[in-house]
Amino acid sequence: MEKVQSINIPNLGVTLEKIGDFLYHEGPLLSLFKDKNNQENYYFYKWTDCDEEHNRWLVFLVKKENLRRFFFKEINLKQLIVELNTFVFLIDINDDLEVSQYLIVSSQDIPKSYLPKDTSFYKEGKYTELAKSIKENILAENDSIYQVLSYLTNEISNLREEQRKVTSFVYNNFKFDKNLIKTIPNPDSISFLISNHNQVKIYN
Amino acid sequence: MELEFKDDYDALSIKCPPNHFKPHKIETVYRWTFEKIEDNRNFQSQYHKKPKRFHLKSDIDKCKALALSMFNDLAGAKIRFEELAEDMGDKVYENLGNRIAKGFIDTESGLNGNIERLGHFNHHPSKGIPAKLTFKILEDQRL
Repeated sequence: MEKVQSINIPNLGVTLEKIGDFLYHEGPLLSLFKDKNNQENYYFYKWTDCDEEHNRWLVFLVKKENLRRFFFKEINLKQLIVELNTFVFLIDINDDLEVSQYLIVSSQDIPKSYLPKDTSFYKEGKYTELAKSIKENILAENDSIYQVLSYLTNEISNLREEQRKVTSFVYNNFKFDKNLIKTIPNPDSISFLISNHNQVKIYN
Repeated sequence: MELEFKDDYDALSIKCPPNHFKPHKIETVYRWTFEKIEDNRNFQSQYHKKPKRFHLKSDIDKCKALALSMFNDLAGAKIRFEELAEDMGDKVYENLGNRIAKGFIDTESGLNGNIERLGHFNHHPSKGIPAKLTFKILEDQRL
């Protein structure tokens, strides 16, 4: 087992529930857990090392947004570990599947042999069907968010149109300070009017 | 056919191996191994390794861990290993193997699951593990 600069801690400090395995070969190699108290937080257990008595698992936090970025190949597994965590955990589990020790490690001190390669991007096929279904769930959630965003964008667009009409009406029916008129780029610049409303002089 | 790990299967609350596992003759099969074919780890199930590499104790996990992984395709065996090495790093060679051995399976060798991606399948050996005796390390292949 590699010697690692680390600090012993009593436990992880979070309550984790296993979702399933992402990589499997005669046993799990990379498994996903969720934080039971925070729906935005996931944790990966990545097998990293063993000796005659223990298997060592590298445990690290993955925010849901970063899991989405991983699925869409914007970041790889190595980046999830090293670049998006200032510290990670190592857990040594014995043959009775009991945890012998929890260690906290700076992500900069993780042995190179524990880390994935720079090519460790998500690929369907490489990962289990479970990973694929979680990716699809996150995609569906994103679709829902986009639907809400699309609705809000339409509403904002409608509001802007109303504001444009009001602005045009004001612009065409009231006298403005001539110097100020020159600074108004066009009637659509409602934001300009809003942000400068104290400067607008309207004459009846 | 009596299976090698009968006592372990009997201790589980589920049907293991599952019903779809059947005896097949497969003329050429490949398995990741270590340098020497005599290495005890080569044909030891994950369930019997010490320490065993899994973190749950469900009977489904135990059943899966009693099977031996094999491939019916050499290229597939190598590709799959490279895929895992990408994510697991260099330690994978110490745990999963660094060589490929070639052997064959007949209807007496045990029960096989479905052939999956890259020619992978799970094999539950019959008593005596006769398939094990057919394997030879491919000296010109490295993982």
